[in-house]
Amino acid sequence: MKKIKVMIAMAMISTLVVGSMAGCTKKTAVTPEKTPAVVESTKPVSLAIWEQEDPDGQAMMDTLAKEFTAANPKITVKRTHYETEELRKNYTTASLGTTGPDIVLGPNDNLGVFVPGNLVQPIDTVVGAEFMATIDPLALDAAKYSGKQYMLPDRNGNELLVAYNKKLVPTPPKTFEELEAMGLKLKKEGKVEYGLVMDEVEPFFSVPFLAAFGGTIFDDVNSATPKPSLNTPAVTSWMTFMKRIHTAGLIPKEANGDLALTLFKGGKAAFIINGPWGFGDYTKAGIDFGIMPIPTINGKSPAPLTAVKGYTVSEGVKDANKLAAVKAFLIFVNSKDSQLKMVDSHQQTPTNIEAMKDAKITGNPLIAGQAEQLAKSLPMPTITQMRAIWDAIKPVQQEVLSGKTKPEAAGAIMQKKAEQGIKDLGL
Amino acid sequence: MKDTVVKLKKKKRNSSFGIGQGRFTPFFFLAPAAIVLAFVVAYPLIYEIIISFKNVTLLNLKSQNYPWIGLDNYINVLADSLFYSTLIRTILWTAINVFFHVSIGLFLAILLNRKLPGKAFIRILLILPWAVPQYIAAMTWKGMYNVEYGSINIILTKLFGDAALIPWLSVPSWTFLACIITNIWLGIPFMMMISLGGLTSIPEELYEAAELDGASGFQQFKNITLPLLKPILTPAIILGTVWTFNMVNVVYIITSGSASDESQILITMVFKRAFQYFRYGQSAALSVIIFLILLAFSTVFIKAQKSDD
Repeated sequence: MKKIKVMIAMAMISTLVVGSMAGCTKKTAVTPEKTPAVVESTKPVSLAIWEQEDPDGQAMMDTLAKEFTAANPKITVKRTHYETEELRKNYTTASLGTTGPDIVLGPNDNLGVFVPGNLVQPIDTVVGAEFMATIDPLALDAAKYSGKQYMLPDRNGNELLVAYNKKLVPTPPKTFEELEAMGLKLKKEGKVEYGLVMDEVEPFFSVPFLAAFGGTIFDDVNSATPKPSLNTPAVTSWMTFMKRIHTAGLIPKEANGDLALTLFKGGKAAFIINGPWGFGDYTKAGIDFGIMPIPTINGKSPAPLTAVKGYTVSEGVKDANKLAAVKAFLIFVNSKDSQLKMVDSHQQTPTNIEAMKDAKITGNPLIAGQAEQLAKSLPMPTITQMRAIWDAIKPVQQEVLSGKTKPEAAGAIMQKKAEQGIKDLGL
Repeated sequence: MKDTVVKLKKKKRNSSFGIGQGRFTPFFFLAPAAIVLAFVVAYPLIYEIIISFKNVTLLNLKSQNYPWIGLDNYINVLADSLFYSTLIRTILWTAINVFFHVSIGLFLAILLNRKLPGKAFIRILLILPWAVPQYIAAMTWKGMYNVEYGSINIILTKLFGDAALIPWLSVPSWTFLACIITNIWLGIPFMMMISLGGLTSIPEELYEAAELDGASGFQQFKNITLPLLKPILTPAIILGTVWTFNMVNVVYIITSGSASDESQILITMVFKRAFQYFRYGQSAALSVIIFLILLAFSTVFIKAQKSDD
């Protein structure tokens, strides 16, 4: 009996080991491929889309998907939602199998992960040059990676700006110094908890100020090996500024995005630094708000990082039928009408040239008003190294605000962490 | 007489079908569970051990062409000073958590192991931390730790004045303490239920005999309760240690993504390395090291318990 037990155990273990070894040497996935013949639009196709929209955007996508399927009965569209980081992580792991999505709707910094990982294919060949000509070339530029067009952008913006509560702030300030004075005065009068609220955890929300002090994140973003340039006097000025407004009581002692939003929506803050995705929330909370670019500090404008959000097509989509369905869907969802419908949910500038000229965009102060901030913004670097930058700034900013690190020492620490992070990424 | 003969004949026929206690019957019963375990536990474990010897990063993940690099990943991990500081922090984290889990859990179990009015209701309340999904509990506690608007600091300042304001989430050492408190709250119900089950299995006569002999409450606890609970607490402590050592949810959420190196534990390091830095090979090596540490601990602990008997 013991011998048989040992034999069976050995058999099972060796099967497992051999089985896993076999998996290691496989080079291609085993899905059978149809020979690309004439595109038959009569075969039923199912498209899987992953996105990271907020609830309004998700609802709008479902509406558009229903319209599309009504016009193309053979094509079904299945939408799955993930949060930003989850989407990136799951998409990378899904690449190992065959059940990943065909289309992903996400921000352009995803390209820094998707392209080196060979997860997406160039999209201009999928939709064709004729359709590409209907999209804003500036947005298209931002959706390129290493010179190739991997993403079809559907909105341009994602920038931070200042929203102010019109009841508390009848005339908007012209400089940051004015904003600070207004905020502190309102706090002293007890009309607000804090003059200005913002997410103090994620460096994305404080990095606009770096440009106002003349700093840059990389020495040359477009070089083959960009190096972080965080050990500079500009970074010291930036961190000193953050510590100063924190100690002065302009911004809360500790605030993440949720807390900032709650305070502003509750009318307990006069100004909030946030993006256009918050507009819907403020309106629902009944706040009468206006928008303005982040005002100048010492005469220099802060420069938030803009991004485009758009559609990418997975590398594994090779079947001619599927490609035709993907092309039809992308053309439909980026047409003038569809993009204008999506604008209702994301409140940013669309990329379809006709849509951009529409009165809905030019006549809406909340969207047209973003143009001023957009003109002063910088494009967010989409390279993979940005992950190391965010991970370097985040803990150091927290330590500066808590008083554990002096602003003068912050730059050197950030630089060291960023360089280590880039090494860890293998770049 | 005839009936018994017929009955004997019937018995013989049944056993010739081979459905009765054959030599392989236990294997057939175990097979479904074994197959599931093999796919869900054994296969990923073996795959992970294999890729820990290979170079797997974002750049070659999809091609599935992973070059063999031997022990390079392990050397990288063990040569990093951050590994050792995080290891010490993780051991400290586990020890403190398990100590309080067991002591408070046992204490509550002893309290509940008697006639109490509303015992069922109290038991439900005490089980609640376990019933709430960990993610939700961690997010709620994180909200409570906010320096200005969190309920904990509000209570502290009302009781002790403004000097008692603790920067829970801004200073890494306080954040570590915050994670410990949250995890203790989460882990007590499990130990309490295990201890309660163990306590109810101790026969009352032993305590009665001890009282007759004049043993104090503490002596009874030390000489009757603890030794008889040992066979039940030993696997519970091992489980608790392994789970706490690998508690990624609480630490990741309360430290807001574990950005600061000074408040992370080994498992959040694995998570970051794998999914934010895409160093799959290296994080697999780190996972295998964690596995070996926990395996060594469990073996030593069980042996120590057995030798005490």
